[in-house]
Amino acid sequence: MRKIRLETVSRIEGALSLEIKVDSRDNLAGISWKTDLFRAFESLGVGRPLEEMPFLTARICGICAEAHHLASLQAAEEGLGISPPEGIRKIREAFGLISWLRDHLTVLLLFSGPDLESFPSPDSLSWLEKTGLWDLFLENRKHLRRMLEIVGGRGHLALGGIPGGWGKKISSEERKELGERNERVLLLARKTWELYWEKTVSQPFLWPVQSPLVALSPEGSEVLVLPPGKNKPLRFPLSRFYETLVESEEGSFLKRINLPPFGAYLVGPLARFYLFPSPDFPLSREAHQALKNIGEPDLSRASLFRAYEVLWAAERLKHLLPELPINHSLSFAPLKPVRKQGLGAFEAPRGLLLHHYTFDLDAVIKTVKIITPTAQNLGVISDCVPRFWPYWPLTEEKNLLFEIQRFIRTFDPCVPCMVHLLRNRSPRDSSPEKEGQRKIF
Amino acid sequence: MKIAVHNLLSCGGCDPVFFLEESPEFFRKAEVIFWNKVKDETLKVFRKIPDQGIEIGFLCGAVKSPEHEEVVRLFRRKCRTVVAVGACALWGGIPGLLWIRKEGPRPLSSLVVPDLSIPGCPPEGSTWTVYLQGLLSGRPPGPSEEPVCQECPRDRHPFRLSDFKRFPETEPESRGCYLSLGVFCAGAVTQKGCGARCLRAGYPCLGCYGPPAGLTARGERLLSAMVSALVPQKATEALKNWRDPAGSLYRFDLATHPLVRKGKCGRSD
Amino acid sequence: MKPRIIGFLCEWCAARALENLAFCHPELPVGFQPFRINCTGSLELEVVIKALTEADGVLVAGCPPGECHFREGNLRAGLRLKALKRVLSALGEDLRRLRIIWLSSGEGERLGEEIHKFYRELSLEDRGS
Repeated sequence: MRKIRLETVSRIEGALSLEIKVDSRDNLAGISWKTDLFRAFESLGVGRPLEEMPFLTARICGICAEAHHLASLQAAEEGLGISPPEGIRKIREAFGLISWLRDHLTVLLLFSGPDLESFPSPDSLSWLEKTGLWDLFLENRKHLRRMLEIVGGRGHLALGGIPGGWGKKISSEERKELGERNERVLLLARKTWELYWEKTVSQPFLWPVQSPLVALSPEGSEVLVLPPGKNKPLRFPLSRFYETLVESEEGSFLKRINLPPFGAYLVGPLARFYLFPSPDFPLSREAHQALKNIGEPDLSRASLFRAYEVLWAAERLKHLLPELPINHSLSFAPLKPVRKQGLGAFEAPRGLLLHHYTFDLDAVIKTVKIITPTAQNLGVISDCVPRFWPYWPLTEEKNLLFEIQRFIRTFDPCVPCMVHLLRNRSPRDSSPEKEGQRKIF
Repeated sequence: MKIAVHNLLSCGGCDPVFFLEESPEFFRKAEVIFWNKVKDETLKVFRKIPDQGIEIGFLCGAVKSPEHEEVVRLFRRKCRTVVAVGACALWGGIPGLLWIRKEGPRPLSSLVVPDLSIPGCPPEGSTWTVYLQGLLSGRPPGPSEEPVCQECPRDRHPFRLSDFKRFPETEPESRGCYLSLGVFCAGAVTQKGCGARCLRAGYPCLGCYGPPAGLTARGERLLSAMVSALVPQKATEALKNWRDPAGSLYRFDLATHPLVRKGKCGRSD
Repeated sequence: MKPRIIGFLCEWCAARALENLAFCHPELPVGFQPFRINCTGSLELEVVIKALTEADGVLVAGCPPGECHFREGNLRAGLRLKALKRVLSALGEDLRRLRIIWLSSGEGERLGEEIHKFYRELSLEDRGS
């Protein structure tokens, strides 16, 4: 028995270390994950005023803060029995799209770009330099930050959302500026898509998906589940889906989510592609068609679906921006909960994100539960490693570690997000009997 | 110029702002020795670098595990200049609220003395620039002496309070100072530099830039100010209705509170 | 370890009460450390917190309601300390460690009793000798 240790999985969000046990015949005997990023947001949210949750939970993750902000707002509003007017919803959608763009572009160009090359791969910076996209990428980070600033008031770690409304007004000049900047984003989106298409499409299938795909329905009230081999998704009300989920601890502090009776399932760009309708915009429709023709869902091409979403988001934003209300009037929801709990859901860049709060009559938080995309994907990652193990270069340790990291990176994991499991305090304990009792259908 | 960047107990949101958005020129000129967001190098490689072999080391996040402590000490040894970035590194940040339950992270400054401390959750791009330009020109700046109120667009006037309010309970389009509306706005006890962004987006100041230079016990001072403004006859009622006292006074810096440092605070559930 | 109680005594009432008490050569518990302040209204909460980190308990003694030399210093101090108690309880602190009493300069004996009572409540009496 030997142990292979990987101190840090590089080019992902957060610090994650791995230990792999291999027996004398090179078979995989076990894999364990470890991270010391435990910050217990599920615990420190308790006792906080409901209206502060969108601000606080945005601090869960410096990369997808906006997703947490929006999911949290929705959870709060469900509890307060408020649904924001159309114009506010549009502002929030635009905010979410801009954050998608920044997140996806950063992941594609900074984190997973070098994975397109064969081992030993260059580092991100020299890879970006070589593709000629370095300057455009940096220029666009600036654009996207400014766009978030215009819409939300702060370029980083999300702001603007207040239960019942949106605190940052947008002037007509600002709206114009958004449109101009988005044109540059669209340019980078196109180039990124082309680059990924060219580099990925000719590669062989490596990692076919054998788990159900899960995504939030576009209107947000249902969860779509596509079991492997099926064409038509099953539809479940959001709250029913949430109540069925079972969480357990994987490695140290990592949260793993299962959906009985399926077990592990996949969320994220790949799942969304197979569950969402095809788009109406010229560039992304073309890309969608091209992707439809390449065949079955395969994890080795997950980045390609991410690149497609960049294109889609930039085009969607282009159509949405002229509809954003100018200098809307502010409104705050009264802090009188009509329910004792609230559930918020948002399709974050990495996949379905759920925030669930319970609170008292004064709208002060009693419990917090956060189900992140990475926690949901962790089951698939863990289950897949043994499946793909025989295909990896086992003799060369460095090469093996690169392949494993490359595999992990296709999920675009976000470590700060997924480590908020409260040990031994989970209301939905994951003993096998309990898991057996609960099923989605 | 050789640089290293590392995130300790953090959300990972501080570092990309500067390097990718605010001053990519600096970033391009620099030679990145260690930053796991862009490079495959591990700590093993970092340990082999000669002492003082790196010009600037940027550390974001708070300290909790022995591994974090090791990295912080390693940075102090390998880097000629150590820059602490963000509220978590400076005062423990929001995870510091975990001290209410007896166990939380500590700020980086409890282990080593950084040469420069950049405040904010997250530091705004302009703040990065001011601090880093100062550092490179040999005059590293400290905290500002002035509060966020200097940058706040809302109208200030003398006030008395009959009740404490949560900000969504105020009139949405009101232009008056949040304190005068009874909201625990941390602006008066927070250093300026952010451009009062939260206040321009409907929020009160939540205090992420930390205390102005020379101000101690900012939480207690804010409390004093608010309670002193209460009309005595209404005070008992107002105090009864006040929600989340610890969170509204020490949102970003509970980890540096004297009672926490002395181990005299925290309840077990 | 010897017990330590820090007292903040208003010079217009409690501090005088202590002086009056001193004429009777009373036996005060070990480790009682009085500080004369010019009004409880001038006592910064920061100082109270600092005292709480250093000592086993903190006693604040000011003038009875309506008798403040500066009109409403005691009233203000009372509110501030009440608010501070809410904060301390949110932080999980033992609230018995902060004690607030109101008494006039003639009540020396009562001050002595209050000090003893404070020691008893915090179970510090046996630690002294």
